[in-house]
Amino acid sequence: MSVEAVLLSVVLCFAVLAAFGVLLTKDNFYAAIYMALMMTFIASCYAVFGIDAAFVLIAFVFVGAIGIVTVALAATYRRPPERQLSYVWVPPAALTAVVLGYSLWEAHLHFSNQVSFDIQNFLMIDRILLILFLISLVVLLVSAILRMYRRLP
Amino acid sequence: MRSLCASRNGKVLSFALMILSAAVIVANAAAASGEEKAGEGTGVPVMNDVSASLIYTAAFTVLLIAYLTAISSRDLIRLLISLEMMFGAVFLSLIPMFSLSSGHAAASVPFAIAILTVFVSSGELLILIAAIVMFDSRKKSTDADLVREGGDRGV
Repeated sequence: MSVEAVLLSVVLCFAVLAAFGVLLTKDNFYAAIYMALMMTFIASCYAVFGIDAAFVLIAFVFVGAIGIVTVALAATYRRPPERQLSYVWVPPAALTAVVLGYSLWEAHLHFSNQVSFDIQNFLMIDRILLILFLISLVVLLVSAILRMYRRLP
Repeated sequence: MRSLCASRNGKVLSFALMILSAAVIVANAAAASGEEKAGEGTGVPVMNDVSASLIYTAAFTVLLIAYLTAISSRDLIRLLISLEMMFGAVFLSLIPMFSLSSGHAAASVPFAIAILTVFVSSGELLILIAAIVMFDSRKKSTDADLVREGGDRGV
């Protein structure tokens, strides 16, 4: 196993552990924190492969914006901690995991190419327009939500 | 009991932050060694069967944990968190796509898909966050059991 594979497995293990933290913790606030940690680790996987632009995008948008809003929401609407894991659903989830793992084992994936990505070749004029349209869409969405929220009593 | 639980969670969180710092340090060291190797070869980690299998396994695990969190959640905040975890699994499963294409023009296609996914999912989560805030302002609770009926009734 190469150094990159070991590093990738460590980062992925931490992401899965953070996901288990979300599942097992009682308090919503800590669940939101663990979720932000998990998203950071997932973004780190992109950084491991040198896809820095995707790392920045996920870290800024998902961890920086949506994650922090979720943490703030969980802190605002904090309820007494109670166990939210229904143990009835654990056996079907484990069975699904086994079936998925077996199908993955039988799939015989073949990835022999190197990860190649260059942000300079990506930023052509049509893709800059796409990004601008997407940002405008999110701004319009937020303004519509704020307008609806102001109408509430 | 609550403070004990919060204290335990705080310790776990501090431990996780320490591990995150260590991971960042290790990643920086690996990136530095990759830059050193760049003069000899390409310097880019290779996406082989092992890496792709690791990523897909982690993505499936995170997705299943998110499903389990969603179906056993008792309030809307936990539902929102589980939805964000599902999108995290989607982002993980996008990584091997960067190795399936060859050439600079084709290599930017997965990144375009990643950008679309990030913006669309963040828009969806924004709507859900606003819906939770509105729900709480009307029902004075974020309990999932209070969600009994749907449909657009106008504001």
